[in-house]
Amino acid sequence: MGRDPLQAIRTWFASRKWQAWEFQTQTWEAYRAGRSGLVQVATGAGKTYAAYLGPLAELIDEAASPGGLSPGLKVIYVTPLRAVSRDIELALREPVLELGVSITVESRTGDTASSVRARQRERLPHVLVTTPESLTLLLTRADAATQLGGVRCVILDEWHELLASKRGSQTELAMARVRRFSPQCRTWALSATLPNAQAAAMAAVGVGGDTALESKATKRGGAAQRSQEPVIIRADMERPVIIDSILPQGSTRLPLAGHLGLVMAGEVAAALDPAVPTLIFTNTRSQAERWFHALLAIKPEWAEIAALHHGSIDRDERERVEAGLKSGAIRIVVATSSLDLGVDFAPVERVLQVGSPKGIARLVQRAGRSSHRPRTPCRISCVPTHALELIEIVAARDALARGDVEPREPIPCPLDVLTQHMVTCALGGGFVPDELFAEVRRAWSFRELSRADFDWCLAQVRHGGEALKAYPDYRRVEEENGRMVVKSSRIALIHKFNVGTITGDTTVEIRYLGGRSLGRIEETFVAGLNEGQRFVFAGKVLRFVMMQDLVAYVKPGYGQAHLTPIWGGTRLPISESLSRAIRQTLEDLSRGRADCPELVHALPVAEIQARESVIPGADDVLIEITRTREGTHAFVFPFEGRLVHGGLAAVVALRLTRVHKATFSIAANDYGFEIVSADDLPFEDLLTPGLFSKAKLAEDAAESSGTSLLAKLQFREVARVSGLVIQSLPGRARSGKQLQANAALMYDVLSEFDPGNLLIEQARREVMDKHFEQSRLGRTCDRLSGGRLRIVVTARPTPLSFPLLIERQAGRLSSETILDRVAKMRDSWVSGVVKATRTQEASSPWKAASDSGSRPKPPVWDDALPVPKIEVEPAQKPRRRRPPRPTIPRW
Amino acid sequence: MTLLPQRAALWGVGRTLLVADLHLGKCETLHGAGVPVPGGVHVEALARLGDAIRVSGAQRVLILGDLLHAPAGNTKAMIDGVAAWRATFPLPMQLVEGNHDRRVREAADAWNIDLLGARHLEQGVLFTHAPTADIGESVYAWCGHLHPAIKLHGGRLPLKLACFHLTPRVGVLPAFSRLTSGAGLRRGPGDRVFAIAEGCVVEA
Repeated sequence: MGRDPLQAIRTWFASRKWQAWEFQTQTWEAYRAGRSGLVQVATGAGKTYAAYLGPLAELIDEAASPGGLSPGLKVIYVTPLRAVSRDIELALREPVLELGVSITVESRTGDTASSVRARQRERLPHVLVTTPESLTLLLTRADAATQLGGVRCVILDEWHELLASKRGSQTELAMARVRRFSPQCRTWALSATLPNAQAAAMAAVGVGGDTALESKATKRGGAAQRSQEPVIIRADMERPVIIDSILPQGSTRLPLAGHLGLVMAGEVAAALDPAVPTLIFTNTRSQAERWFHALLAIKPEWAEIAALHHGSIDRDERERVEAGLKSGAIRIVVATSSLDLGVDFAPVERVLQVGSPKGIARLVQRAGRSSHRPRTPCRISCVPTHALELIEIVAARDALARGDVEPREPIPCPLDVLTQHMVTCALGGGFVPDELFAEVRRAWSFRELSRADFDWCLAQVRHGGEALKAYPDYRRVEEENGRMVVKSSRIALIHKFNVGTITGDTTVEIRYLGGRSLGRIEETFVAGLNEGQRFVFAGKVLRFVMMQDLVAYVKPGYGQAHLTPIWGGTRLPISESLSRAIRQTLEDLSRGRADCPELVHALPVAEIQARESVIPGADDVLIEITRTREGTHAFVFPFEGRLVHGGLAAVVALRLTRVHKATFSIAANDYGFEIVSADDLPFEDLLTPGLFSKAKLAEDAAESSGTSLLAKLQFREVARVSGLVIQSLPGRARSGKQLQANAALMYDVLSEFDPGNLLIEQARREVMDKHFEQSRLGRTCDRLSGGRLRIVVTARPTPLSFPLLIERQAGRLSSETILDRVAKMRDSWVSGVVKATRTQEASSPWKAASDSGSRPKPPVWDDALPVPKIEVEPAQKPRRRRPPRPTIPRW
Repeated sequence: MTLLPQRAALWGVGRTLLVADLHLGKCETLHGAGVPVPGGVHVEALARLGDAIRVSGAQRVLILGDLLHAPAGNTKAMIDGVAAWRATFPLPMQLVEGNHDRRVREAADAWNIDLLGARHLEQGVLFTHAPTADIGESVYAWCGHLHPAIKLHGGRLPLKLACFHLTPRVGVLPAFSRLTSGAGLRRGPGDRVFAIAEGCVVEA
């Protein structure tokens, strides 16, 4: 051919008066050399074209050749965000249209119209934009091997987002399959800056497999490249990130605890310029709702230009907000992580972060949403919600300056994802176990998968594992001529409907009576509503009317509503990098550092802390012992995030009970944890470095309260992904009622009747890793048992310990038994303090009774009725006195 | 009426053991859909029922509906398995039919269970599957159907316990099957709730 195959691309760039960045040409060259790799560059720098134009040049070249471009899928573009697939499709089609070549570009996601899907069933486009879930669905097609046989390149967009999740594991397995079907396929991942780029790249491109497969692949010329190391291309495009803060003015004072930060609403409203497009990020959906409401209360005139955006709001509404931002009609958006990624909001000029940044990478990602132009600085203004967050902001800034950003690690060997993948492969033309084992081990996360675990998963899908062997009705995957296939069309359908690893709670649609949908909300919240009750959702005050078939009907409400839904999900802990930085900043503060406005502002609180106790140094672990009417409190401050503290508190409480018989209550937040006993305990002597020893840590964590309950909660995801619980069924939701079994139930049943179940094991392991961040817990223990414990006896709670007192009142952790809890519930019921457990109206016999027109009678156990005499075993538990609510001490 | 931790209640009249919502065949239904539930679940249910009969010295068993789960679960192996168990308990068993008992005749014949229709009135007490509006003012009713459960808050994680929910006019039994998830209950004034926790029945 002789000419430069990239010529067409260069011409196109020139026609748009663009200059190709160096990283773009590097990537094109590397692709042309047959390499795979990872492009690390900030959002908005043009990485899409870096990865895409290489393969496109190849396609254009081929289209110009005498034979023309053969039909069939050539390039797959995987994005984690279904919502942006349309925008990506348009961006990918642009050069094709302008260069006038006949290359088809389409997208296929859960939102794709059925007509387009039908056409794609017949013939796939040359370039396909899709999500990990839809990619997996492609693999379930019986002709997957032929359909995917011609794929040359797969582009994995926002790989840093997928990488550390089960969606990432799912993508890795799917990629291993695609590479098997098409050995010449190259993979290019696009990611934000990651400190562990090598692992991220390996996860994207996979690892070399066994030689038998290699030799088969060699004749197509793919093996040689694949066994090469991935190319990592870093662009020298980093945009400087400026972190500043909006500080309280005048008489406003930051509270010592809390996370809503509404006290700052006035300052924020004053700082905002309605002409400047602004994103206000919050940490939770309910916080977003509250802030949106608070801002509008201060500035009602912003009603037209302000909007709310979070994951539970209806997609149409979210799209309207996004379009409004682009067009400039909407200029202030209160959002959650739903706007962290995706669409380029070129016009956004200012970004605010309300509350703790939680992590450096997260703050940088959010800052990157501002002025989406390469090489211009991006700026994020933090709004502290309590006094100690001032220190977090400074710490985040320092950590970023040092380049200390959190790594993201792929999940090692998630067997639930593998189980699902097996059914996918069985559907997509079937598989031979030996071959699949070799193939799966070429996915980075599964490179150490043992044959025993593989066989266990295989047994799980074939006959349900050991516990089920005797049951002939159970068949998911069956053997046919040496291949594992799915025979039942019903099972095939159920599987296709449930592909994916995104698990959600049961949510209920919120809809105006006879009108449009507003979004989705957790069923438990709606279940607690009474008719006519007002609540805030999607920034509107709504009045609850009724609930029917998983739709909650509402009418517009007026005036004030005091109810804001709280969505499920654990609160994100601060990252390890950030907590390290916080300890350093505290040490600086104790040495009198006051070189930035946040620290100047934190000075009064720091002075109280120094007077009442000490400000811990970076390597110190401060332990404050305080005696109050409640008993003896030990406050321990490792600064390692709420999850680690929760785990550690449970372990330490357990270890304490071994040396000293007592009952402990515990509480944890991002800074430390509290252990309190009603007795006067000599914590000064009890809290020794040995108590934090790493020896038997896993066993103690497992034995301490909560692990098994947490595992049960975690099992929800495992059960859903592995197909133990069917989340959605084809056809109407109700028709599947008889198949419903919830994951908590399955957890109980499996732990009792199938104790060796590896999926239960996996849930436990995930709890240890994810909830207790086990490795981090271990590192923390190392630090605590080896470090300097600074035990200080304080006269009253200090600014550091006071938030923990509040936290415990909120009842987050306790070491009570179930019977204790039942007794407590009875007490609260008797004293009428706590609202009774509520549920849907329809399931209450009282509702049924009142339907007949007779209102429920007041509580009279009328002798005229044959009321039964009830005998039960009496539960004798002493009633506990409710502890007084903590008040801020007078320092 | 004595409430038993086996998720059953003993009625003094004729020493009758009351149970509701056995949902036999749910495992088989799930297997058919490719969900690997261990089969031990219904073995445990039958063992627990046997246990309740022995402990209470019951002379009769009255099932308040939902003996079966779904027609797809009525496999021959399941029917035969239960029949073998039934043969070891020579006491009368009766069924008030519930909404799941659509094709119960065949199973009831195989298991020697008498069908009492949808409502059964005895000694001024009404037994029915679902607590509906037409229970009437003058009788006390016992039913199942709702799978009542209480949620315990205040601890680290919410916890659900199966329970007996006794309102001034209706007593609702917990679901006998452990392969059912409880629906939270709405407590009205004058209601009493007895939860099953750690092998005992405690008022909650």
